[in-house]
Amino acid sequence: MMLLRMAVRNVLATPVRTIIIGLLVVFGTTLVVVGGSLLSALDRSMARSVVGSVSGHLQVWSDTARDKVDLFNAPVGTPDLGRIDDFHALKHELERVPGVEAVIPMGTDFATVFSGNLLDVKIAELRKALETGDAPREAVVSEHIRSMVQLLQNSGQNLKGFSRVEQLASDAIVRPGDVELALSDEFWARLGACSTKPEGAPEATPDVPPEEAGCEASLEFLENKIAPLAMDETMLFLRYIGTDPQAFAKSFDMFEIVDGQMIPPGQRGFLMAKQMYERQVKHPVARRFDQIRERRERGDTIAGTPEVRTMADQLARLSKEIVLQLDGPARATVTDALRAFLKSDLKDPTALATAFLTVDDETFDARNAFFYETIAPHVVLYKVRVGDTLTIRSVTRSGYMTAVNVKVYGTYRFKGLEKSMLAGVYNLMDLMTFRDLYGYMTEDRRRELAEIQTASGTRQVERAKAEDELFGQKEEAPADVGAPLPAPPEGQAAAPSGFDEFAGIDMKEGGRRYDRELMNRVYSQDELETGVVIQAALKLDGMDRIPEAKAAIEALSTEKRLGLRVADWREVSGLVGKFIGVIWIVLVTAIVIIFLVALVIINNSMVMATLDRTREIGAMRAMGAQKRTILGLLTLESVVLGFGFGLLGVLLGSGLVLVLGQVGIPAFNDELYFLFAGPRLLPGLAPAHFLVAFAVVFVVTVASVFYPARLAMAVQPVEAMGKED
Amino acid sequence: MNGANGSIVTLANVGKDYPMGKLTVHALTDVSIAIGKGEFTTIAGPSGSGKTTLLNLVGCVDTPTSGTVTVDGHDIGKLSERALTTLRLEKLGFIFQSFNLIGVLDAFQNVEFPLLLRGHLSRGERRRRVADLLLKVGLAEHARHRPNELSGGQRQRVAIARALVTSPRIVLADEPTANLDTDTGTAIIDLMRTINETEGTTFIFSTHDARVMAHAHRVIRLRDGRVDEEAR
Repeated sequence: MMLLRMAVRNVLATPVRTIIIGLLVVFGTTLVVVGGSLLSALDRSMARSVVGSVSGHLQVWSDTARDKVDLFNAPVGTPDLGRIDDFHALKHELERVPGVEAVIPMGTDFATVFSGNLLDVKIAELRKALETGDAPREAVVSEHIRSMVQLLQNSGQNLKGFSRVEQLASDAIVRPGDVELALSDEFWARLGACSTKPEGAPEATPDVPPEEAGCEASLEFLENKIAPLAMDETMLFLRYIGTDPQAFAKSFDMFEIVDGQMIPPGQRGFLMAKQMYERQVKHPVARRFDQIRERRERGDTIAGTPEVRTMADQLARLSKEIVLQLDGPARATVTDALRAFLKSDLKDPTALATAFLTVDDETFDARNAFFYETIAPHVVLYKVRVGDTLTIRSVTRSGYMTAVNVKVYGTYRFKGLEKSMLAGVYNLMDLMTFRDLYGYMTEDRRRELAEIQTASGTRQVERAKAEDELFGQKEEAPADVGAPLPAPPEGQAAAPSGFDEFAGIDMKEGGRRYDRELMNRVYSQDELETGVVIQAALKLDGMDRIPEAKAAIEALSTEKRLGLRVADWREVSGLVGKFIGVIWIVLVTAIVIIFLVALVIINNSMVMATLDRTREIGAMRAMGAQKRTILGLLTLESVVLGFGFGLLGVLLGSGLVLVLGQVGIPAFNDELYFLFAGPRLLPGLAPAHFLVAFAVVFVVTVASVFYPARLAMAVQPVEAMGKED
Repeated sequence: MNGANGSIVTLANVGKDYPMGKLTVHALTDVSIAIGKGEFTTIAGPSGSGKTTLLNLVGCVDTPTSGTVTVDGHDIGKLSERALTTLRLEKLGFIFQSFNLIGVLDAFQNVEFPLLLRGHLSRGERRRRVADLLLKVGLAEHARHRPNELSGGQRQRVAIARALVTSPRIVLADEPTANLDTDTGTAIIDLMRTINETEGTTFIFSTHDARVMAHAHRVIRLRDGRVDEEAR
């Protein structure tokens, strides 16, 4: 008791030194508690995000794979993940592993989709007007298209210079005179004259120029020869998961449909990730308005935040995106409305639009509202709409291009992760479409090929001879599937093709029928599950089951020769998974440094204290204090110093964590939404952090007392005596 | 366990050498002294004559190079450091030239300190003894003062109380008045003398102050590490 009192008083006797040490220890322990709590919370939330949005607790794939599953990698190429040939059998085996709740088939890949340009959209509108015999609409759209082509010819801007024409010409897509033809009165007069395809009108082929062919041919001429000239088409870069959408939605319980509907059970279909849909598919003006609104809601201002300022500047330059999309009547409506809204007497629509899009903090809200109320109905707000059919092109494993048409049923997101780009990385696709795209022969594919072969009279060629038969001396040959490449289905911008093997065959009609049939087909669960998948996500009944289930599956794979590789969510989430590890390292390094400094300073101060008190210690020894009493005293001083301030630090840290747990740390950028599994990170206290804090303090205390204690114990009682002088 | 002749401290042919670089300093040479129980003995001599060395040996904080030192029947040359420490705790009281009070403890706690080192005593007993001694040294009112709040004489009185609190057989004082003015020094010596007479505690102290020596039963003079003369 007396020793403790002495220790406390000794500590208090040197206030400055004590305060310096105290601050260090308090800071260090606070950091341990707060940092530990934050990182644990982050770890949990990130696990929730990753596990709940894409990976599942475990991922299983073939051990023939050359690469590892990495769900958040930079999509530079399709990794070689081998394949699981019989998902049904695998599922059966895996579902018996204790802890496994669901086995979700999966495959991830990426594809490019041309969303079509404005001309495409308008040509489609024209087609619809012609088909329904809507003459007024037809006139309006025709005029719009003509004006757009005129604009293309006049302005090098949108045409990206005439090199585009030259390039297309060199690809034999655009022939000299095409653009002029598309602007000629005769062309439009003839197109206007027919509202349906006249019987017996010849198809447009290289031998029959469009000016002599029927309406359909004229439309196709516009679609194939003129539309590519406009460069405002967007190439969507889609990453997708081929999966059983029903199982996916059920297992990833944060899943929710935002627009449209769920892909009906057993059917082919595509769901777009809402984030990607908003970012890449939405009209650029609308997108900018949204971005600025979001930032302003977060407290940023156009005037005050450089980033937002840039967005506003960009918005002001987007007037063409609006004006180009407006056909005659719409243009008049919007122009009038803008003039009234801006109280302006400007005549030029582009100038008006520019004035409207030049926003500041005062005008923003009103203009944002006006845009959505008055302008948005007249423009194409999303280049891909729910209900559209997308043509997804992909490179199969064997290296050839394949394309599949699939209907977009809607958009989806993960609840709580709405803003996260990482959780919005993957679009969803049904398994059947995925298998088609990935290049695996499904029953449907086989049937389609057979149909095409019958219709075209092509013959089966031996694989070895296929190359010569098809391409002459060309180098690339399909290695995996020896059948000819199916023609690109309808709706695509014409792919440059060097040969016309299928010329003269009604591919389009056949393809369309085939697509319709496929899209409406309902597959049974067995059909879905029997067949190839790339990997499977496993949902377990708790995070804590991961090691056990992983081991069990590895054992099962060995025992039954399933040839599986298993990895937990952290291993398959690549950089995202390592992210926490990196922060841990940073935190631990900071803590180590702080405590090393604390150790040195405490050690120093104790040494000083020991030297200062040599006589006092000597006197104590002379009076009969044993060495261990002196050791006890010094240790106690160190402990009082360390634990006193350590406790203070822990309390401070706990308080901070509790407050943060109540208030939450807001996700101030979109990626944090993913890491935080929502808009806020709510850290919680865990006894482990206290233990760690105290363990660190203990180690530092003991280590720092070691040397001064040795010094102190070496003090002889003689030191207290008067020196022999 | 007194010596055969009733001595509590016996030095027989004691020599003490200190190595000093390449030289050896002979601090004590062939010293033989016997000090009886209850004696009030002064070790006198000029600086460097070996007073402190002699006290260190008697105080069991040092061991002789040759000869034997017997303290209360124990040959200190044969004891381990730990045993020496225990011996000091049980049998000896120290009064230092520079008081050596523990700065962070008040007067009462300083006096209590050796009792705590000993253990075994109840809190009440400790308090009683400490209060008793503080009263004896005239510091009852200063019990809660820290050393830096006390004058030199008061500090030395605390040191005396501390030396006596364990009821030691021998109290050793190394120039106890050297840091005090004459009047205070005299008062301190009187106090020690009084305790010597009332409690029968053996006092051995060094000094080179003639007035202090006047109070002693016996003066042992040292010169160059040898006993020069003895006076009673």
